[in-house]
Parts: sequence; structure tokens; C-alpha cells
Amino acid sequence: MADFEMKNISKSFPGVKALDHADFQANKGEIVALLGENGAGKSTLIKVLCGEHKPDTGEIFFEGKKLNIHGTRSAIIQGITAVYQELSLVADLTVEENLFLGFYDTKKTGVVSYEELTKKVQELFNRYHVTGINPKAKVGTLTLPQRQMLEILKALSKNGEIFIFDEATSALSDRQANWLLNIIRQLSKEGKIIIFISHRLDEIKKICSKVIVYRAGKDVADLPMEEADSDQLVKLMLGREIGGYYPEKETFTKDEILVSMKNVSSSHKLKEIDMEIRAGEILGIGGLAGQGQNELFSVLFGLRPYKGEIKIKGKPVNLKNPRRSIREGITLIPEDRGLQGASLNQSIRENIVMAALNRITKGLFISDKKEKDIVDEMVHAFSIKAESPETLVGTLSGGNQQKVVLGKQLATNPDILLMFDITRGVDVGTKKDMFETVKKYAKEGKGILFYSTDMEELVNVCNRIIVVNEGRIAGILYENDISRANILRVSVGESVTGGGAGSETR
Amino acid sequence: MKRDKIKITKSPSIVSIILFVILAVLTVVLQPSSASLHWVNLKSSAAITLILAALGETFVLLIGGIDLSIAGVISLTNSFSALYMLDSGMSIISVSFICMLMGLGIGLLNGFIIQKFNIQPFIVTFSTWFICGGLAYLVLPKDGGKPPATFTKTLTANIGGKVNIALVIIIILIIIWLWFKKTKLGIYLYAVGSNAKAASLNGINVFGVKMFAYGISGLLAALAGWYRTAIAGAGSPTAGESFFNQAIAASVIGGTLLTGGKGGAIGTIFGAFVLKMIADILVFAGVSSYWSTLFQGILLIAAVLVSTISEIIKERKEMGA
Repeated sequence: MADFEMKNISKSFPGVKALDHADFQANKGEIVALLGENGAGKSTLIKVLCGEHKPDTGEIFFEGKKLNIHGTRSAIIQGITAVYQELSLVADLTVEENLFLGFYDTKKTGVVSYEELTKKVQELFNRYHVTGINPKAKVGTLTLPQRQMLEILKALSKNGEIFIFDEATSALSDRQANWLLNIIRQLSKEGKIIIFISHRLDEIKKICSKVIVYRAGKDVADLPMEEADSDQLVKLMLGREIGGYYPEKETFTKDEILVSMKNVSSSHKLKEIDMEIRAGEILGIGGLAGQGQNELFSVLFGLRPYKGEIKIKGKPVNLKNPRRSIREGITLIPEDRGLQGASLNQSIRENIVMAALNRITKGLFISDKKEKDIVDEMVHAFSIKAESPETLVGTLSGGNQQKVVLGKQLATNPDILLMFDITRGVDVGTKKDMFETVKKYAKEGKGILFYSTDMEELVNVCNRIIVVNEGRIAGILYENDISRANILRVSVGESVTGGGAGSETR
Repeated sequence: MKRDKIKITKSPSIVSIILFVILAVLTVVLQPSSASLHWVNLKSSAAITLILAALGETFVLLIGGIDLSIAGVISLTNSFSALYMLDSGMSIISVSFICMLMGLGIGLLNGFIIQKFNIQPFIVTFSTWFICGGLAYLVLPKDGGKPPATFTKTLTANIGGKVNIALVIIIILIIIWLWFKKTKLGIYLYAVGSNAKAASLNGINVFGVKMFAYGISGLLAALAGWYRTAIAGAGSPTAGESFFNQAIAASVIGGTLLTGGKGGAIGTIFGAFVLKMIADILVFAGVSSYWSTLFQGILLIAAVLVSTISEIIKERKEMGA
């Protein structure tokens, strides 16, 4: 018997069998990759383990003893800690209050001992080499990667035996991701069990010792990492062949300049940006995390005031609010679908046509036929998996929600697409569909500005990459020079290798 | 020292304290005789019922809920205690105890129904407001009742002939709050209001924390109604009607948001004083007291605007840094 076993776990929700007699096992010191498409049952399995869901059937054993998990607190006390995708932080509390939330030491008077708290936080920071985060700051004022780091530190503070990292690296920069991977290796040396969930296969290969694949609520494979290659894993996850992870690169770039920015600066982050987006081009924005990528997108979508000149199709414009940007044919596909993109209580159909009402009206009224055409087109283009277009978006899996957001934005028939980290937390099958669609729109002559925290994606999707550093353009990479290594080189100020013509470093 | 300064300006109660100071100065200018302990006693006595009710409301607002039923609870306990309290120590104590039990019970019932059946707090507490208001009419169909003098005198007395008991209670409430805010439960209250899902993932008993907030709200509302019996010397089945608006107003002026997770009791107490003082100032200034509700409304929106605008400016600054 393995040190840790989940046996015969089943869990049903109304209309869905999320887990169907699934098993999971691991030994101490193992770093286990848990793979599966969105909706394969990974999250449910984790929620069962963490005491968020009560399973319909099944048992959990650790060191041969049966665990009785009732509720989140009970799971934590029994040594099970999970790192969430920045879900468990409270914005209105301080860093230190958050780190030990639920586990404070109190003085005799019943008051929480802040001296003790500060001391413990300092120890935690020292032990894991954390700098640059003020323990007294409200969490709401921190950046996304910092919050993700806190989420990780919080789990580490719990002295657990089993650690679950659910997409924990998705919001981290490369440097921070390395920091985490080192911590995970350390935990493994200490004999902890680590369950690692990620959609980045390269990362999984780098760190995990074995891999368990879930599909349709069941475990379908449990094999040592050495024996698994990427193609095979993808096949196992999908239950079918998928030809290559990224679509073949092609260039559709035309001469027509859709967007030109001259000397554009925003109040703080962006400095003297000069760039162009051409029709049919997939222009990538690279660089280390938090170098102004976000601001660049915000400026183009009218979310942030700027100085300098922006022309759309040669016409000077003032992008002072999103409405203006939309009118100029620009659309933004944001990363946080829950917050910015989808209206979860409405149906797929309502979401898709929400921004495109002027395209579906006939006189004063909405034309059912026009509406249906657009909805069908989008559902098809993004292969949105749902019973019908009337299904509520909130009930869909994360990947499908993101597809609805894409469909909604594209239903307005924009010329310029700003895609900001659109594949964050999305499974491989969905990613593949999305990349195909991105390519299709490039072929149709739309200009696409593409950002991803996953550098691999930039490299495989973009025709040209602008690397930003500290709010300035550090360099531009063309066609053959595009590689992970070159993006990094340019962002740290070195020149590119590979002898390509035309790439430049500033 | 610099850190302390930041702390003060960040405190959400700052707007209500500034308003309080401005109004206090204005009062003294318009009516110099009011700069006395006597006047402070008077105001404390006038504000104590609102303060109790608004404090309870603040707890519920902090967890992101709302409690309309306080109006009903106040009417109920006011009517009940005015009618049934007899002039004996035993009667006073037992009726007082029953009042508190009723308030606590209704508060807990609110919390239970809201969470167990996942119904919006607005609807649930709206219903219990009606239920309690209805009960109040059954107890005491029209204004009246004659509470014993021992009771009314005790709750309106000046301790040592100087400090009104209401003022003492207010000070005690402030001390309890300052302590409570630093207890585990105090921090959990903010955590639940700010992000209930996150709080639950950290092993916090969200159900329990919410029950506590609604329970406290009911209990304090009951105390407000009970105290009103002493101050007014009578009961009224409609005594609580105006309290709900005023309690929300006091909380909001004090910096407690209706979205939960921000604010606190200190601001609410000053907020309640501010509401009471406006009426006075209008009288001193020779304006009809009918204007006071209107002015309270203007002040309410102004207070919210001030804190929102300062929040926006702060954000801009932080982004600019």
C-alpha cells in the first residue's frame, strides 16, 4: 500500500458525475503531476481531499490510517494544505493577518498577539527567501504575482504532510516560478507528498517524479515521469490524438498599418512607446512579468490615460474610454473571465451577443436569425462545449467560460484584438482550439496583440515580438529570431543570437 | 511616528470624526453655553439608543449582510418592557432578560434562515421586521405603558451626579470594541465580510461568524428598545420605525461600507452623534427642525463621497508611486 491513497472516490453534482470511482496514490517524497482537461475531475478530487466537498463514496488513507475529513479546517489540521489560485486571500486584511488567518496565537486577554505574528512571518520570509513584500501592507494593494507568492507561503506555514499546488505557477514570473520549484524540491526531500497541477507540460517534466492522468472523472494512467512523453500525455488527457500542440506558424502580415503608437507614455509605467500593429499580424508582447505589458493593453483599450499619439488606420484618435476604443474597432480579451469578461448568470447566447447588439437588430427589434447565426458561428469557432446556447455560463468549466468571452468579444467583429493572457488556467484541448482561432483571425486580416505569461506560447504563436522592460521597448524580435532564450536576452539588455536579420535591440 | 500618521489617515472612521469635530465647534459657536459636561451628558443620553442599534447594524454590515429587522426588534422590546415591567427588582431583571433573549433569538433566527436556506438577508430581515413590528402591536396597540421609576431613573442617572450613565456605557462600548477588534473573532469578522469564500478555505467557520454578527445585531437592537423605555418613560409599537434608516446612516457616515469588510464601531458611534447634532445646529441656527432629515441625507451622501474620493486619490497616488 502506498503512503497516501484515495480509493474509489465518487462525487456527483446535479447532472454531472464529476468523479467516478477514481483512485489516486503517492508515496512520501514524490512530486505527482495531476493532469487532465478542465472538467476531468481534478478540481473535484482536490476539493474532496481538502474537505470542501464530501465524497459520495470512497476512503482516504495516509500511512495506512484512514483519514476522516470533515470540513476545510479538519483537512488542514490533518496535514493537507492546498495552494489556491489566489482565492484564499482576504484583500482587506494585511499580509501577516492573511498568512496565519485561522491560526492566530492569542494572549491571555484574548487579543491576537501581533508581536508573535510578526515574528512568525519574518521567520517564514527568511526561511523561503522572500523580499519586497511589506508584512503590514493590505493584500489588496499587492500585485498578482505577489499575492500568488503569499498563497504559497501560507500553505508552507501550515506544516503539512501533503501539499497541493493547483495552477500555482500560472500567475508567477519565470524567476518566481523557479523560486517555487526550488521550494517544492525541498519539500520533496523532507519527505512530503506534493500534488502538482499545471497546464505547462515543460514545467511538469522539469519537476515531477510521476504523473497521474484523469479523464472524465476517472484515473486513466499512473506512470513514472521518465516513461511519459508530451504527446503521449496529451493523448491520454484527451483520449484521442491531437496533432501537435501549437498550429503550424504562418505569416499573414499585410502592409496596412492598423495601429500606430508614437511616443506614448502613461502616467507611470509606460515610457515613450513607438510601435505598430499591422493587419494580419500576431504581435507578441514579451518581457519579464510586470514590466508594463498590462499598461500597454490598458492604454489601447481606453482604460488608462496616456500622453503621445495613437493612430488607428492612419487616423489620429483619443482612446479615452473603452467605448471609444470599441468604436475604433479594438477589443480586449481579458485574463480574468469572472471579473472582466463573462456574465456568469446569463446564458452563452446572451453573453455572446451582449456587445454586438447593433449587429443583430433589424429595425427596432432583435432579429432571431441574425442572433442565431452569430451565436452558432462563435460556438462553432471556439468549439464551446455545452448542451445548448441557453446553458448558463456560470455552469461551464473554466476553459469553456474563457471561450465564451472570446466569442463575445469577437462577435463585435473588431479589427484589432488585444489578447491578454487568454489561456491562463485553460487546458490543452482548449488552448489548441484557441490558437487555431487566433490564427484564423490573423488570416482574415485582423491585427492581434498577444500577451501570455507562458513564454512558450509567445514563441509558438507570434510573428513578431516586442520585448518590454521597465515600461520601454527593449527590442523587437522577428520571425526566425523568436525564441525563449532571445526574449530573455533582450529583456535583460543583451543582444540576440541566431544571426537573424532585422531584429533589433534598443 | 510617520507610521502612526499613515494609520490614522487610512482609518475609515476619520470622516465621521472630522465631521463630529466640525459640528461640535459649530454648536459651541452658535450656542456657547453648550460647551459643558451637562451638554455632553444630554447628547449621550439622546444618542444612546441610536448608538446601540447602529452598532449592531455595523456588525452585520461588516460581514456583508444587512439587518432590517432591528426596527421591529426595537419596537417589540420597547413595547414589551414598557408594558410588563413592574416596580420590583425581580420584575425589572426578568423583563430585561426576556427582552435581550428575544433580540438575540430573532438575530440568530435571521442568521440561520439566511444561511441555511440561502435567502438574501434583505428579504429575511425585512420579513422579521414585519413579524416583530406586528408582535409589538399585539403587545401594545398604542403608545403607552408605564415603566417603573427605579428603572427609568437608573438608566438616566448621572453617576456621582456628574457623568451620565449613557456616556459611561458609550465609553465602555468603545473599550470593548477596541479589544474585540484584535481578537480572533474580530479579525474573522472582517475576513468573512471581505471574502467569505477565502475565509472558509482558511478553515474559518463562516457560518458561526455570521450567526454571531446577526445575533449581536438582534441583541443590541433589543437593548436599544429597552433603553428607549427608560428614556422615553413609555413604549410605542412604532418606536423602531425610524431606527433602521438612522442606523444605516450612522454606520455609513462612520465609514462602514455596505459591501462588507471595511469600517468599524468607532466610526458608527461618531456617525450617530453627527446625525443627532445636525438637528441641534439647525435649531440653534433658527431653521425649522423639519429640515433636519433633508440635511442628514445631504450629509450622508457627502460623507460617502468624501471617503470614496479620498480612496480614489489614494489609489492614484499608489499607482503613481
